[in-house]
Amino acid sequence: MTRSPLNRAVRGIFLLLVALFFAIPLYSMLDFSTRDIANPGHRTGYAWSLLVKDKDLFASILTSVSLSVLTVLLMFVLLVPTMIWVQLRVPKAKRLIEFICLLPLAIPALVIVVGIRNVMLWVNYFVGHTPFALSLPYVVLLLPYAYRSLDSALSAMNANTLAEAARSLGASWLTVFTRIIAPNIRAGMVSAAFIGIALVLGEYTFSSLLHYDTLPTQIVVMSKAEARTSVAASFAMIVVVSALLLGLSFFTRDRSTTEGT
Amino acid sequence: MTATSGLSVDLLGLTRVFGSVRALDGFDLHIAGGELVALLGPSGCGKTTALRILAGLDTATSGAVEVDGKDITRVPANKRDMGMVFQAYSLFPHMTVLDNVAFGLKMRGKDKGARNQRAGDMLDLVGLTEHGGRYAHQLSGGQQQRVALARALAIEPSVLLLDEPLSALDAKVRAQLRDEIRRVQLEVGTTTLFVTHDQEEALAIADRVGVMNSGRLDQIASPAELYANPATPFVAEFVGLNNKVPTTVASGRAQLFGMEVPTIEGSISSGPGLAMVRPESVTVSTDGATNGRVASVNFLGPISRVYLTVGEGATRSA
Repeated sequence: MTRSPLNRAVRGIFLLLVALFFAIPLYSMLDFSTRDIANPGHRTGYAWSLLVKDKDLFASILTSVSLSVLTVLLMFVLLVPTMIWVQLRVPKAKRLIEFICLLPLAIPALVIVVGIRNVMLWVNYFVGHTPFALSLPYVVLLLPYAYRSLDSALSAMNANTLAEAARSLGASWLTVFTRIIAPNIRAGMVSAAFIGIALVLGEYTFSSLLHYDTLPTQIVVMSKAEARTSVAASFAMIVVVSALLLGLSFFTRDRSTTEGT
Repeated sequence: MTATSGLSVDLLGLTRVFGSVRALDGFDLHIAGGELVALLGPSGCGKTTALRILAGLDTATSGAVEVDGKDITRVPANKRDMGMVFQAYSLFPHMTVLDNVAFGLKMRGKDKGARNQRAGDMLDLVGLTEHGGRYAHQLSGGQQQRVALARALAIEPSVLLLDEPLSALDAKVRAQLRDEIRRVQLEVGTTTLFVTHDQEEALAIADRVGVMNSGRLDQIASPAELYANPATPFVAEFVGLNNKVPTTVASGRAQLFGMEVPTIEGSISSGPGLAMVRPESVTVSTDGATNGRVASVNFLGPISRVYLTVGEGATRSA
């Protein structure tokens, strides 16, 4: 169908407005974070260099990155075997698992934090006051998104038939999980991992109210002393998360476009 | 000629209850070594349940499964040594065709050289040697099922199980693959259970056909015997087309359209009944003993089906 010039113009204007909506704040952040206050009109990378030079900020970046990896690993260990098992062996439990996994969406983060404060005290008692303890509530926060990604991947493949085919060929259940199902839900796992990393890198409520130092809390602290560096950190985080989401769309795109005749 | 190197299979008094539904109700079946038996029946009659219990993918509520006289009722599916082809396409999408066929051999600890050699031989058997490097989505439905057959046979199974493997294919491919399955089965001599709801498929491929009804086996016989001498009205009705004509039987002969026709063994010997007349047993001519009016003619290529209105308006096919 050919579009009229008017349609094309309207579409172009809307695209431009959307692009400006995102681009102007980003440009402003970049502009502000590279502004040289001592020499007005000049640019400096001082604020950006603090991302590495400022020990507290650098440590918080490492903490958040490590925390995101740990959270994703924990989520995989907890959720992937559970969902595969439910799909193959206990399909009646699927609704219950779905309800439990989607519950964190319905409960505000603030309420969850208040609810788990005492639990976290016990966790701190046993493992010390380490920010890595946050991985436990973060897994709960991640459940709805990870569940959706994995469920879509499992539904898209004929998991039961493939599992039965593998079993009839002599595969143990462990082999069915690791060599048959897991490789075929790779896109869902990558998607869940990227969403998990993005969520942990940007999460503020839990870490702030439970008194842990992560990148978002450090950005807030820094914004009070060195605003340009905090903006630089925020900008860097947006770029990293955007890159992750781009990677997500790249890794999870449908490659099976060649159909048989 | 049927090879006889396969092992015998016995399903003994199998019952499978799903909630309030009895999918199998005291089901018995004996398959001789190297024989191909087709289980035929309508949806929900329990034929797939029987096959899945034999494969170890489902558990019988009661009854036993024996292969070569050994009770394997409690043996898990991955230890049963049975090859299976499913109705749904079941090739592992992340593996090449060759790796799919070699998968079962890998599970048996065969080294790479041996399993690739065997997988290649099996692909050769089903005529897909040149497709070894492809993935499932690069094959047609018929090719996928042939690979699934090669994969099931690669492990040299004691029993081959085919769960409506042709039902997702178009008519021409279905007929081709049906003949190919029979050729391969005769070549390797594996005892085979073939489940289908397609009577033509069952009659064409099997040494014996078992007709199932409500979880039980109504009759099991050679295709010719089953067609000529159905044991029950259900079998007569399910296998082949039939005209149902009210009749009166006396001394083993039925009164039909003013003629006396001999009844088959197992029919009632006297009294009123319902005759089931195969369309091909009726000849349409201009000088017959019975008058009828041609209601319609369906041209089906090699044959034509003629619908006649006889007597008080009942329509018969011939």
